[in-house]
Amino acid sequence: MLSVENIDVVYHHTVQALRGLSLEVQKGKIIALLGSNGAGKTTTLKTASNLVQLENGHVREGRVMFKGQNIARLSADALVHKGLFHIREGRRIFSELTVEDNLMAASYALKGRALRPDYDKVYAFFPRLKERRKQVAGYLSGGEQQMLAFGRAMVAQPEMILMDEPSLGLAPKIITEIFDTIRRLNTEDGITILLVEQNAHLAFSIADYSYIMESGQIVMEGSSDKLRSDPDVRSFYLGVAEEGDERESFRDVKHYKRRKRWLS
Amino acid sequence: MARSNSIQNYSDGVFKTANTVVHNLARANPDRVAIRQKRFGIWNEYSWADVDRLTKELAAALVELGVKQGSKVGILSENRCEWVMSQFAIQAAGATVVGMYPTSPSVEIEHLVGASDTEFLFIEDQEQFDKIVALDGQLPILKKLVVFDPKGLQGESFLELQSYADLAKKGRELFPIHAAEIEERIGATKAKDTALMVFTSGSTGAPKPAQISHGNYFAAGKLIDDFFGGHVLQGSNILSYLPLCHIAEQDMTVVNALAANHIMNFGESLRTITLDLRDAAPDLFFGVPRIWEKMHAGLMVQVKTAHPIQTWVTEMALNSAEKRAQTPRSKWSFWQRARNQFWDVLIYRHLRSFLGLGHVKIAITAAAPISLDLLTFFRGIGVNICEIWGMTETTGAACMQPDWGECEGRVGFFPDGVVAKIANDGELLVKGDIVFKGYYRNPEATASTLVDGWLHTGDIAAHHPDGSFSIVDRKKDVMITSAGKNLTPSLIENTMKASHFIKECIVFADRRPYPTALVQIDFETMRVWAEKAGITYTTFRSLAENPAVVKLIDQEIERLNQRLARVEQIKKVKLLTKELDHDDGEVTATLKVRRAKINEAYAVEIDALYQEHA
Repeated sequence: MLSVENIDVVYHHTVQALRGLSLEVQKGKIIALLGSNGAGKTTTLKTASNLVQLENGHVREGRVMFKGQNIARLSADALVHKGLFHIREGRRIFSELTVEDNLMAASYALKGRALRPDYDKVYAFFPRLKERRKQVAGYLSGGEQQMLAFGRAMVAQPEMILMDEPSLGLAPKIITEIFDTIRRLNTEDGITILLVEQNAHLAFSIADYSYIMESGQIVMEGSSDKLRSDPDVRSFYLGVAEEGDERESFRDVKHYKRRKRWLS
Repeated sequence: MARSNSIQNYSDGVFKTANTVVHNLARANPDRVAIRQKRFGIWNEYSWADVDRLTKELAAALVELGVKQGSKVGILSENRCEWVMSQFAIQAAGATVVGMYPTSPSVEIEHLVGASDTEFLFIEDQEQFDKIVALDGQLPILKKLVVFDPKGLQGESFLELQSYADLAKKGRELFPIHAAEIEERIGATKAKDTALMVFTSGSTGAPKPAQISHGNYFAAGKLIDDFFGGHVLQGSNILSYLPLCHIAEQDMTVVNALAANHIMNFGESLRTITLDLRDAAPDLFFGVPRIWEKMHAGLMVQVKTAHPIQTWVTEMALNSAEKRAQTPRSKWSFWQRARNQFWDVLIYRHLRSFLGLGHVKIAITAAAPISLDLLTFFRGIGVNICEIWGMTETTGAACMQPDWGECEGRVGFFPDGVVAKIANDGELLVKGDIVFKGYYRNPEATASTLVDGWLHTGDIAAHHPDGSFSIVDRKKDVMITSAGKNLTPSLIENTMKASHFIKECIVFADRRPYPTALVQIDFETMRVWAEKAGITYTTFRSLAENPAVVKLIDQEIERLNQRLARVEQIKKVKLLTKELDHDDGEVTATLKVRRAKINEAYAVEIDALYQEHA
C-alpha cells in the first residue's frame, strides 16, 4: 500500500533527518515504527503524508509510493482524498470548535469521493464523544481529545492511517482503550496502519511487523515475535536486563551502554 | 636535528629506563607540555615535571599496595592520560606493565590475566569492572583493582577496589616515606628486565604475552631518529587513539614522546575521534589500513554526494593525481609539479584538512597489508604516507619506507642496528636490540621464534635490488590448492579490497580445487550506490542479500581478477550477511581476521561455494 524507498530528508538544507530509509507497508497490516527520540520517526510519517515541506524539509533522494503512485507531486490534502490519513503527534484538533464541528470539518476529506460522513459510527465507537458532542474540544481531557482525533480519522474513511504516538501523555487505562480501537479499526474496517510508538511493549502487542530506527536509518526489522526475543531490542527497548534479573534500585542502573549490534 | 645538550634522552645511546628519561626531561624543561587530555571539551595539560612527580607519587602508593619488583600489573582501559601515568608508575615501582584490550570480552580477559600472572589491575570504568566481577573465582591470582573512572562504583569493595584518585592521594601522602625505595628500584632496573608485556594479536590461536624489556624499549627509541629524523620537530603533536596495549601505539605515543619530546594528546573518547583529530592537528599520524580505508570511503561518499560541480572538479583533481602517480615525486617534471600545485590549492589541501591531516608531515600505515591503490590515493592528495613493518616481537617498527614511499619494496629499509635476512624458505629473519625477550611462561613458543638470536618473523619477505624489502604474506597463511599450487591469500584479498564496495575479503583455497571467498560489503559506499541505482534496502543484511548487489560484487571480483594470475582468480564469492565482529570471535581486537574461526563458523557457506560449482 505504502512503500518508502531510500529517502533522504533534509531540514533547512542543513539538518539531515533521514538517511536512505526504506520501509514497506502491506495492505491490511499494522506496521510499527520504533526508535528513540530524534531517530526520525515523525519525519518519516510527515514525508509519507507530504507535510514535511511545510517545515522546510526536502526529500533529496528516493521516493514514496502510495497505492503505486509517486506522492511527490500530490499535495497533502490530495493525499487525504486518496485515502491516506495522518493523525499527528499531540492530537492537533481544532480546540475552539465543538466536538461535532471538529468531526464535520473532517468530512471535507470526503469531497469528491461519493461517500457520506458516518458520525454515528464514531459515536458508537466512542460513546464519550457523543455525550460531549456540543462541548468545545479544547476542554476535553487528553484521552477524549485522542478519541476525537481518531474520530476525525474515521469520518474521513481512509484506507490507511499514519499514527504518531497515540499513547503520548495518556493514562495507562486510556492507552489500553486507544490500542483496542486501533486493533478494531484494523480488523473491522480493514484499515492499514503505520504506527509510530515509543512504548515497544504496546507496539509489539498489536503490530504484525516492526521496524526499528536509529539516526535516520532502519537498523532492524522483523516480525514482532522475532524482535521481542532479540537481545538488543530487549535491553534497549523493552528494559529487560540481559540476565532477566530485576533491578532493585536506581543504583543498579549501569553507567555504560552495552554496544548495540542490531544483527538481523 | 638540533637538540639542547641539557636534555638527555634516548639519542645519546646510554641505556636509561623510561623513568630516568622522564626525570631528565622534567629537569631540563620542567614546564614543557608532555601530555594533553581532553575532558568535557577542554584540553588539560601536564608538564614533564607534573608527569615525573605524579608518577612517582603513584609508584609510592603501589609500593604500599604490595607491588613488588617483577610483579605484573595490568591496565585494562581505553587510551587516556592515566594509562601512561600508571605505566610509568608501575615501571618506577620495578614492576611489569601488562596491557589489555578494553574491547575484550570477559572470557578473553580471563585468558589475558591468567597467561600473564597479573596480580594488580587498573581498569577503566564500570563496564570493565562488571567483566571482572563476572569472572569471580576464576582469577585466583588477581589481588587488587584500581579504577580510573569510579562512576557508579561507590561502595564496591570487590578485590579491594579503589579509585585512581584515591590511590594518587595516598601516594602524595606516602611519597616521602617511599621516595628512597622508589629511586632504588628505578636504579636497580636492568636493560634485560621486562618493562611491558604485550599480547600478540592471536589471529592463529590464543594471544601470547610477549615480554618487551627496558632495553628493547630504549632501542626502539633510538630508531625514532632514523625513521623520522629531521622531519618531525620536538614538541610535535601526536594523537593517541589506537589501543595503547598494542605495540604500535606504544611506539607511536610513548616511545616517540620520550625519544623526541613529543606531546601525547588524548582525546575525549574514541567516539569523538574526528573532532579530536582536528583539534590536535597531529604532525605525525599513525593509522592501521582499516583507518585509511575508512577515511577513503568516507571521503568518496562525500565527493559522490556533493553538488554535481563539486563532484566533477574533485574527480578531475583525483584523476590528475592518479596520472602523476606513475612517476616518483622527486622525478616530477616542471609541469607535473605545477599541476600538483594548482590542484593542491584548489582541492587537495581541503581534502587533507577535512580528514584532519592538514598538519601531518609523515603518515604511517602498519600492522596489516594495505592496498597499493589506497597508498597512491593518499600520496596523490599530498599525504606523505609511508609503510612500516614491525611486530610485537620487534617492539614495533622495524623498517620503514622513505618519504612518499620512494623505494622498490613495500616496507622500505631496515635502519642501522637492525639486521635482516631472508631464510631459504623465504621467511624474514631479524636480529637487533629491538628483538623481544621471549614469550612469558612459554618456552616452546619462544624457542621456535627465537633461534640463535634471530627472530623468525613468520612473514615471507622479498628483497629488492635497491636494498628494500616487501612482505609477501604470513607463512602460516600460505595455501596449497588441491592442484598443488601455492597461493598467498593476502595478495588476493588486498587486490579485491581495492574495490571500495568491498570491505573485507577472506579467501579460501587450502586443499580446495580453486580459490573462493567470503566478502563483506562496505555498507557506507554500497548504500550510496544502492540509492543512486534505486535499490530499496533497510539493513545491512537486506543490502547484502539483494541480487543487484550480489551482481555488482561479482562484477567487481571479475574486474579485479584480471590483475591476478589465472590460478589466483576467485571463482565464486558469497556475501556475508553480517559484519565480522570481535564479540563473535571472528576478528581479533585489532580487527585481524581469525581464519580458523571463520572456517569453522562459516563451514556450510564455504562448502556450498564448492558444491554449486562442481
